[in-house]
Amino acid sequence: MISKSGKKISKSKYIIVLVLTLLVFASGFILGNYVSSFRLNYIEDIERELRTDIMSIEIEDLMLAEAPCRKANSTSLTDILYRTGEKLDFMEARLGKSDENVLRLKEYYFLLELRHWLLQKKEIKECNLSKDIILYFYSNLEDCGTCEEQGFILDYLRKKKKEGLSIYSFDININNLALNTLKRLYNIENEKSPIVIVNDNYAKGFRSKDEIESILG
Amino acid sequence: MNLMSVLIYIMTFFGVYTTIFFFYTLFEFKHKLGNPKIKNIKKVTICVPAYNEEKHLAKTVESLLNLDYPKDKLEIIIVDDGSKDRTYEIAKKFEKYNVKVFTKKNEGKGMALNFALKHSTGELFGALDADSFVNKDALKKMIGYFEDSNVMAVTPSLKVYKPENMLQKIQYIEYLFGVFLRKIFAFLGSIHVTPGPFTIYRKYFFDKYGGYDENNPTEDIEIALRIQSKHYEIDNSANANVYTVAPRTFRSLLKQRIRWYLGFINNVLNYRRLFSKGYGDLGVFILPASFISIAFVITMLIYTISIFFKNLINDFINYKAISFDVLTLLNLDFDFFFVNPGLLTILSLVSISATILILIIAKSISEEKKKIKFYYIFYFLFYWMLFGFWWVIAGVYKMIGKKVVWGQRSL
Repeated sequence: MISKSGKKISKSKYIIVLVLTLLVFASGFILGNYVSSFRLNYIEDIERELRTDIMSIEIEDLMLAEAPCRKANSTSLTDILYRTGEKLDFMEARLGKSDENVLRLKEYYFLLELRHWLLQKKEIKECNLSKDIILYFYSNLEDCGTCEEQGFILDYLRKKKKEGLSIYSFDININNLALNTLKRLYNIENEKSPIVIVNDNYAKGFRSKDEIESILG
Repeated sequence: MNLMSVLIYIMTFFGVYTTIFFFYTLFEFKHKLGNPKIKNIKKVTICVPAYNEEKHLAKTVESLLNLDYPKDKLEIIIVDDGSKDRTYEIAKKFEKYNVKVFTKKNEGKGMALNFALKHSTGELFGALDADSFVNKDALKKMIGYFEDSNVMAVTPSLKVYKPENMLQKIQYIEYLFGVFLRKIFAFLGSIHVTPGPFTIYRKYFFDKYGGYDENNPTEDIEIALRIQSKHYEIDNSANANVYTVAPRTFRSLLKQRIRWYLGFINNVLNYRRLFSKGYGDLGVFILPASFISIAFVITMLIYTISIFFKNLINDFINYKAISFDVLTLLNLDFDFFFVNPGLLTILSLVSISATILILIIAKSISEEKKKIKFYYIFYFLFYWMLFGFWWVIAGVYKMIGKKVVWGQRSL
């Protein structure tokens, strides 16, 4: 009454499905890469914008040499710097710590920070501003167990103090002439991160929120 | 790229492959979506095994009496499996409608079904759990499949009856996925579970290869695998709707799933010879894919839990360092830059779209009128975690050799 037979497998179907799956994956991969490259271009745009901003400030500085404190406001530039820093952190997490583009942008970013820091110091001194400055050296390698927490505290303080506090963070492992000079200036070349220098007040290791706040004006 | 990233890529690839395979199958067999015409009306026996089912039994039997099927071709048997409540008393009231009612000592569902088999006179035999209800046209939609003499069983579309709480709503979506999968498996000749409620079998199979496995807590999986092992067909009628009351509480659901999953492992191990080319797509793809999916979900669950706790600890340390002043950190600025459209994000979006499409197809082929609303979100957020959790527990039970014992031999 009933016929019994083994079932057949359509090999071509499995192959077609494999090809379709590879196509979906390839499309996803291409799209993902396109968006990443788009994002890198965006960072490069920001880098160019920052360069222009810094130059504008420098020229502004020269023009207002007679009355330097009349403008004394670089909040927007500071904000751009912070946002660029956050974006670089994000790119680093996405593309990896050893990605050439990320490393190049980071190095340039640190130079911009240094330039901004020098301008800020000059501004504070000449215009007698009540503003705090923190230099933060971190490492994103495995050797710094408390850097994430330290970064979190500093981010919190920046948001709390707003314009009253400028924080400049540097990856201690980046080998750059200007950065090395900065490290030499504070005599921290051989120190381990985290290093938090609050208004030129330097102490080794992790610093708590209360500790930093007690130094801030 | 670390090991876990590689594994996630492999899992995603496997998921995309399987999904495309299913859609391809649906496209390949779209001309077979309708039910075959009935040439000969066959006599059908439906057994309602009942243990302490005073609450739903009447509704279940009434739904059978309302079936659009010639009365002389429909035999209904109620087997009271030694209930301690009013089940037997309620069952007796249906004798006036030519329903055969039996009572026996409590021995479990397998025994009750075999008892009914002995007393059945139909060419086809099916069971309907006493917490399930059938649509009026369900049986008529299923019978046509038996015109093919190689078909030994036909499954209906099983759905959740009036889902109320979140857990039942999650199961409602899960069952809808089941509707889609069962149809695809039918096209592939790979149905390996014939659900207890209202799967109709050709009695010839029981006569030739024996009745239900009485010591098997998931006799519906065993019988399906037995049919497959004998190279017969199991088909599915996607618009023959049967509704079942889904567990309401986490505990009862866990109990049910451990029974199902442990039963699945044990039965598939018993029928491991099915993992071969001779059994077609079932042997080379569907069964291996089931196990691979389970392994992946468990891996993902363990990974997600470990990441979750790691982040929780990190967040706690960080927030403690700022004396939990979270309001200061609140940032409402949104920047598209931080939206991460990497390969996995894009593939996740593809997966979400595919699952939505599956639900739409399942609704369409099963003629489901109920709107899905927000059920899908519950399902998407929690189901895979529940699924992984149930499998972990079932796996532990299997490893330590714990048997599924639920006090009385329940149905």
